[in-house]
Amino acid sequence: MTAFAALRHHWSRHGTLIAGAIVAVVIVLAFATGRLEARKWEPFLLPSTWRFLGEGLLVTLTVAAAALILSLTFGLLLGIARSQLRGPLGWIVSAAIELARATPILAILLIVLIVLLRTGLTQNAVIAGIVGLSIYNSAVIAEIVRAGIDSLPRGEVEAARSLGLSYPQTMRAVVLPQALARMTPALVSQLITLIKDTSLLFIITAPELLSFGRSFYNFYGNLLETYIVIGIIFFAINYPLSRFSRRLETQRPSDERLRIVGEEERAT
Amino acid sequence: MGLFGGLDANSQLFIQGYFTTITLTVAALGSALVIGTVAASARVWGGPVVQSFVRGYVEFFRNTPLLVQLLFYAVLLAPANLNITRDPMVAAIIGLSIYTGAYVTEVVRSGIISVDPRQIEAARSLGLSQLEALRFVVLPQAIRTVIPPLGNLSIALVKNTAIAGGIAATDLLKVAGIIESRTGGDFTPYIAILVAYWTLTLPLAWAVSRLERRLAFAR
Amino acid sequence: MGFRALLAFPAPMNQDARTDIGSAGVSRPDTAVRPMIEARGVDKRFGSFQALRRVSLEVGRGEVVVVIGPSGSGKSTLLRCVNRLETADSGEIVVDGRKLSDPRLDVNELRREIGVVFQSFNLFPHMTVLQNLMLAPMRVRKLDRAAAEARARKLLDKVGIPEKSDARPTQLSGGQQQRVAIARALCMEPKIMLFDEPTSALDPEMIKEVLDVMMALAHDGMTMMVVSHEMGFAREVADRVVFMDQGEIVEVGTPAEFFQDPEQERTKRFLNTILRH
Repeated sequence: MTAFAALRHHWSRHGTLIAGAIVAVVIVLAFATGRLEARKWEPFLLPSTWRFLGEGLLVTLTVAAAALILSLTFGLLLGIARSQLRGPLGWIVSAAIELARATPILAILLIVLIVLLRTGLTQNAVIAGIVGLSIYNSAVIAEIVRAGIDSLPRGEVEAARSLGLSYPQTMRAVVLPQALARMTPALVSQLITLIKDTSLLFIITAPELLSFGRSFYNFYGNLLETYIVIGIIFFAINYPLSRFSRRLETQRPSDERLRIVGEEERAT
Repeated sequence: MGLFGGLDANSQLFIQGYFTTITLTVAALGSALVIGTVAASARVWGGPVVQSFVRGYVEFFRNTPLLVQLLFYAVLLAPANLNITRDPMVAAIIGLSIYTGAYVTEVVRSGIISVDPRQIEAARSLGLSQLEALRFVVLPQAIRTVIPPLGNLSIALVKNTAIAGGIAATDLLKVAGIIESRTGGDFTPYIAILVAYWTLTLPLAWAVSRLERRLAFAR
Repeated sequence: MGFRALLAFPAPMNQDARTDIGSAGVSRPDTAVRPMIEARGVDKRFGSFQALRRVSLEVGRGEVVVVIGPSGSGKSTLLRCVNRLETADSGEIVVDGRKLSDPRLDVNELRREIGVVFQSFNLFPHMTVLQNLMLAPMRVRKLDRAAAEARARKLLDKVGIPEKSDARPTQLSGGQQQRVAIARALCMEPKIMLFDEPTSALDPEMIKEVLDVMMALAHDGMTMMVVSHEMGFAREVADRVVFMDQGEIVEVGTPAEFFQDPEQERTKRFLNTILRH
């Protein structure tokens, strides 16, 4: 883009400076707050630390996996229902999905916890967390599934039906395989969001990675360092996933609408 | 406030929480737009160093939980460290801005690169300057592609403000908890805040889907 | 259809056609004054690819020069160097007395004197036809709205689509879009018009309407540099034809010399391939 040579020139001259300045500020901050003291980082060299944090990470990953399986199952069913059902029932499904998507996930988690406590079903915050995460993510995945199904040309369904395939056969053999392929990038992005959202279990007092981190920094008195390390752990899990999702997207340019759905949910 | 009968004694707190949520959203959205636009133009037109710096920013902040980021800023700004402020609102706005800014960067970047570079050539060939080409030709076209995803990001931002309660900002969700404990387990505040969130997110979602449909036809 | 026919049957009639139309047009201003465009020893490389090799060419005031050559021969690059969409690595280009290598040169000021028509039209899709035409006169020439609109309507008239003023570019056919693009460039009242394969993206039935506009422009005495494969147009309108290959100017001549009796082997071969179908 030669036409923007000057802008490019501008950025290459000042941009490096700005980037350098930000890095410098971070380093100065680190010194000013005594962040570089070895004492604060040394605990992270101990194997026991990693065994301890690993336990928290295991809970986090278990929660994410359980919520993923539940959300995929219900999301798929709800998504098909939303795209196929007409009349009041379809309307109710749509409304439920829209309302859940319009609600902060933390609010869902808190409400689920309270409801479970009040009804005496369980005291276990981890279960409340899995249920809450699943409710929200089922709604999001339902929307991804619906967009995936609706993005297929009508002609394909009609062709399959006129070949004599029954409705369920058409769904299973023609619609879903293609729709699933199209929505994989959005689903992987949603998995990233789900993994990030497991950290909210900290607020409803479930013992996940962040809660283990708290016990850890309460002992060593290195809050900021612990937050940084936990952030890096999440990054180490999510970054490969986001690379993977982007590769899928470029390999198979997904439908515009699917990309937009993914975009929104990635930010939550 | 007749609708929220049980809340009358606490309605002031409730309204305060509602405005806290709106303030967080508006403030963070404004600065995220600035951060995102600058970072995106650096990502598109910057040199290799600047480009990888922005890429690093986008990737790191999008792939790390918002709650961890917010906790980090809250502790960083607190008296024990930088001693700047104990106000959770400041940390929340900083955290939400930087986090959302990373998403805005990607959206704006895709908006910029969606404009055919030959459009810029055509504008420059007519004698328009760099900035005029940007202002009259690139931006009006980029905005069309960028508005719906930015709308979606605003919805996500409204929802994300709820996490600010985790660092003791008294947003809507936090308020519900406070009122609940005051009233000894009354569940109505939770219903009320759900409705309150919906008054923000649902109209936005409706507007976005309308816009998307309109822009899809315009193309 | 006429141009397609000319394309298929080269020699005999072209001399007549040329004098025929040429006599109706204006006489070319003399070339004793400084040429409008002077390129001297221009080099341009993109990475390891040498797009232009020591290219020298003059285009006189009011002259129409058609540049032909295989793809990748550097003809478009040469054209783009003239209004500094590309910058020459070495050598010098002087346009209307302005040295393009001069660091004090105001590129925007240079470009407002040079109209460019692109292969892909490049109309602004978010504006109506009229807005497309009025943007630069208002922003660059600082014309008021009424004057800009009057000029725009006059030019739409001239290119034959006054009724499309409020249409969006996407609602127009390719030929109409390209005529709007020509009108848009003319709105700046340029001294030079550059055409970069203006008909290559068009369906055959639309080529003539665009060439007709270009021909009329040539007869009005506009200085034109045209990269094109429309041999009929070259024959009828060009004062000189330039053949480029591998970044070099291989041969320059009047259409008569050029098409009937090319000197260079490479030119012959190229003309054979392009005229055969």
